Amino acid sequence: MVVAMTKPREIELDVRGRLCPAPILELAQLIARQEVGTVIAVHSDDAAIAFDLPAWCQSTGHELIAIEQRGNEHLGRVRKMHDRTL
Amino acid sequence: MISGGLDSSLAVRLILQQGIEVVAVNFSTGFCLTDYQRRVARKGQDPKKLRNQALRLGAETDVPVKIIDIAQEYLEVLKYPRYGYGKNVNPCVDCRIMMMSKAREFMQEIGASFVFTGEVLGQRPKSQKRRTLALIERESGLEGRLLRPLSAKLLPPTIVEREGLVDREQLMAFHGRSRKPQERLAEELQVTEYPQPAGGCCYLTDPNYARRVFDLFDHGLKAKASHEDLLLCKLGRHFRVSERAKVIVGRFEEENAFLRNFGLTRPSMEAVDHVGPLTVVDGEADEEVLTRAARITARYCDGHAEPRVRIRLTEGEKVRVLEVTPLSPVEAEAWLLR
Repeated sequence: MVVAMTKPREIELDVRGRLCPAPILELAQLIARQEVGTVIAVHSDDAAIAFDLPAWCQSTGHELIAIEQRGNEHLGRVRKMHDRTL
Repeated sequence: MISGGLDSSLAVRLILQQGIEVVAVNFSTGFCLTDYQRRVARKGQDPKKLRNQALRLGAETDVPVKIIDIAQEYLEVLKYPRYGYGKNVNPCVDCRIMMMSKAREFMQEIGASFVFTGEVLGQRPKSQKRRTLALIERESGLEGRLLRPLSAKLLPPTIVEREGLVDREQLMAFHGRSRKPQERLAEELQVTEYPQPAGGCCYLTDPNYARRVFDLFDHGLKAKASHEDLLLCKLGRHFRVSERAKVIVGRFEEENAFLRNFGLTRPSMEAVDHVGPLTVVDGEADEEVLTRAARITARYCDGHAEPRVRIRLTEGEKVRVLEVTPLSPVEAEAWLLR
């Protein structure tokens, strides 16, 4: 038996230089257009994204796979979990 | 509709306690103090203090938060408020009507039954008087469907209370500016995290900011003022050096760094031989204006006691040096917009 594993689609969202609420607004708009399971890699240099992104994921029910700091920037990976408006 | 402050935190919990599903909406006007503070955040500042409070509240209560950007439309409300300004450049009544109207549209879009806010009767002079609350409700098209859980018992019952969807008995009768009742309720509901100080995060209520915005409006720039122009009013020290030009001087390193973005499209200046601020000239910069701006820049650099100071002027690709006498404190005072 052959099991084909398909890697979930991953897309990049570069919101460096943008401050709250722009990164979250852009993420919300982008994720709404994706299929469930899609992973979005969010690149941000807004220091407060380390708090806002987990909070947004928690409140909207999307999965925050990880968020890591790289120098002055953060890379957060979010998986779309549902097709609800919010 | 939530800001994430104490009042909306309590209102959300009061409604959730009744087993009602809540979806939160938060409006971004472009005039939020936290957003501004992020732009000029000093090194070492705790980013947790700059977090989005509406998102924090959503996460704490498992309530989804929809952020709606109304900045562009808000600009027109700010310039031409139908119900006028409060003490400063705050068009609170028009602002509430606009937000409530948008909240009504969102309510209809998601099939919700009513809108609620953390407003407290009599807490804010411009927008939270009994008559004004009724006006906002009417003008936004939310008659009977706008609930203020913290003051509900002092207000006429809404449709959702009359129909039994919300139990009015479990709502509050808070009134006035004292925060004590809210603090007691917060303790009771074990709400420990909420932003301090209270009073909202909109900087349109800042008197210094308002003077600068009205100065802009009074100098024929009301119609064409953009968000960028209004953001510039928040930054640095402002000097009205002519009818058609203003000079803006950064006050600290991070403000200088942010001001530099505005200097890409405007003349900017810095002292050549001394540590000092970045200065930007906004408006029609003729030679007299540029000399005045250079003297102001010299006044605020470390060489202000020197007889002559060299100032580097950058206009696009063009760079030249002006040698000027620093402005005296008395002269500076005359142009300073307070």
